[in-house]
Order: sequence, then structure tokens, then C-alpha cells
Amino acid sequence: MARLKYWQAINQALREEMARDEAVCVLGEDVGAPGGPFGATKGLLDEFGAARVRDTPISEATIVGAALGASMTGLRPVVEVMFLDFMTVAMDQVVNQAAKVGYMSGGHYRAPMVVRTICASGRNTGPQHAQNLEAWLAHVPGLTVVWGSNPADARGLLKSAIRDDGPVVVIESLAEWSRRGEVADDPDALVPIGVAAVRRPGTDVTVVTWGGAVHRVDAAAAALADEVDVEVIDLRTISPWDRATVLESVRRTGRLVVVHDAVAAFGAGAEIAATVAEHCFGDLRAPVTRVAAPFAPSPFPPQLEAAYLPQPGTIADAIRASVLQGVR
Amino acid sequence: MTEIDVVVPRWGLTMDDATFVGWLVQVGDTVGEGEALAEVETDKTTADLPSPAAGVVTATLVAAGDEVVPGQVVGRIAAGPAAPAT
Repeated sequence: MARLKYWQAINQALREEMARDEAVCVLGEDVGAPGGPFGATKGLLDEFGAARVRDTPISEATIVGAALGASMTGLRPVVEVMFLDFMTVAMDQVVNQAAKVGYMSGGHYRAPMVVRTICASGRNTGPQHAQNLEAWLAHVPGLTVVWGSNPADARGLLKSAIRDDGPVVVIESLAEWSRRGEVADDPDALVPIGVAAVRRPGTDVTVVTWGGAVHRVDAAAAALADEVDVEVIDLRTISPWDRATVLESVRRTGRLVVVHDAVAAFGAGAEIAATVAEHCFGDLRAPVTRVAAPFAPSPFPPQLEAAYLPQPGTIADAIRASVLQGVR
Repeated sequence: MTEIDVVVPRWGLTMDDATFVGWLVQVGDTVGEGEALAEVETDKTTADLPSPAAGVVTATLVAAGDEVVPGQVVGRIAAGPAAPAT
């Protein structure tokens, strides 16, 4: 086991997959000589050459479209879209083309491509660089959406995404960029798509979370340890999400709090809450609640952004409220 | 004479820490404003730490290999006119 930073784990995953399969190539803005805007592709150009590591113009639609065509004709491209917010510029290629090609060709074509995109929420980057838009992508049949909250998951999910035969959007957290964690040495150690991680087993209440919110949920659960036994589930795959793990947990605890950094309205938390209401009605002992960002753009000033994102104190209050209300 | 802190800058959005590679000067050296005092290695690059003022180096507070963070004071300069080049 090596102790790597989050970005180093991503870099390692790319290097290992490129070494394993020569169909894997990387393209994006500044991914070549500069090693990526935040270092994730550092060293790849020198190691694998300019044919497999390509700098592109600033045109997300073109980059993603080029990767889609390449994927349909035998390559396994990994595109970097610098910020999750900029996925909006590439939505035609992602939503109308990549997600549909397998269906519309009757399986004749596949699109084994990966779009890596970085969520800078929590880095004080302003409303156009800090959005948590995972629900936009998860809403589309044909797309897989994953989000590792720590180095091991970021690495293992990216590797699974590269080996997957359909289009996968891999969201990465810039806020976690220099967080270190244990990462497997085995290049075939994967994190399977569609499987959540129980970060903390508990019996009183289930908290489902993902992405940058995971570490604030961990802090809330740790702070409550003497009064509430909290089960923390890191979803890891947003779509298709691990219903089995979540429903089993809620049937046991009878309580669910969903915590995410995206706004609540029309979000992934709503999908989870509705599914739990449909399948666990008889088991619920308190209303399902969500802790999310207010329905407003993410503010630029650090103090306001901190107030905008769910913090451990707010999360702990919601967990405590869930346990105190409803049927004991 | 005014003492001025030598501070590790935040060179990029994701620069949470860096490795102090080493001093290029020592206490007692006369330096010019902008002159490289030390090398600092971030995740992305290795860069020179420029002197915030002309003067004399009065303190070096970290050593080669130390981990440093943006905003950290790593040395001090007694500001004053640099000695003319000889």
C-alpha cells in the first residue's frame, strides 16, 4: 500500500491503465506537457508519447465528440473536462450522442469512453466553477456517473470506468486534491461501479452521501458518536446507485438522512428519498430528510461558500433531529 | 531597519502544501528585491521563492526537505539598500 494524494491516485490509475491497454489514450486542455491544469496527467506525455496524450483546443464539445468517435472505432479515450460546470458546454455530445449510441445502433457500436471532470466546490472558485451537477448527468439513461471521495476510490473507480464498455463520467473533487490515503499497489485492484461503501457501520440512522460532503458527514458522525450510532454510506456511484445497500441499511435503522453539496431541488437526494419511501415505507420511523446547499448559486467568498455547503454542525443537527423525532 | 517576513505564496488553486527544497542564500547575505532566496517544490512544479525586499537575510526558519504551507513564514529580511554589485 502506498500513501498517495488524491490527484496522485488518479495519475497512477491513468498510468497503469495506459500501460495495460494501448487503446487507452488521454485528451484534454493542457493534459500534455503541463501535466493537466491540476497535475492529474503529469508525466503521461513523456511516458506514452504525443499520439496517446493529446492537448486540445478549449472546446469541450469538440474534445468529447472526438473521444466519442475514437471510442466507437476501437480506442478507450479518457477526456478531461477541467470543471464539472463545463460539462454543460459538451452536453450534446454526452447526452444526445455518447449516451445513445449503444441503444440506437442496436449494440453494434459501443462508446467505451471516460469523461473525467473536476468539481471545484469548496475551493472558492465562484459560481461558474463550483457547481455540483451530478444529477444533470445521472438523469440520462446510458450514462454511468461515479464520484470517489478519497484516493483509493478515485483510483479504483477511474480504472473501472476505463475498463467499462459504455460512457462513464468520473467526477473528481478538487477540494480533496491533496488529501492523502492508502492506495492499493495491485494494478488490478478496482472499485466496482454501482457498489456503495459503508464507511461507518451503525444502528440508529442511515446517512447517505458522496463526493466532497463525505468528509463533513464523517466529522458529524464522529462528533455524535457518544449519543447516536450513525451508519455512513458513501454512494461512490451516483448512477446506477447501489439501492440494495441503501435499502438494507434503512430497513435496519428506520431512519435516513441524505447529505449532498448539490442543491436539494430535483437532485440525486430526491431520487434516493423517493426510492426509500416506495420500498421502505413500513420500516421508516421518521421522515426522510435532506441536507443540501441552499437553492442559490455557489458564492465566491470563502466564508460564504463555507456557509453554503453542509457543514458538520448542520449535518449533526439533522441526524439528531431524525433520531429524536418519529417512532422510537 | 524593518524586518520583512519571507512567506510561502499560494501559487495555484490546489497548492495546499509544498516541499522546501533548500536555501540559495544564508543568514548575513545581502539580497536584492526579487532575487531567488530558495527553491520550493509544489505538486506541479519547482519554483524560486523571490525576496520580498532588498536587504540582508536575518533568519532562515526551515530546512531542506521540510513540508511548508502557503502563508508560512520561512525566513526574514532586514530591509535596506542592497550593497552595490562589485
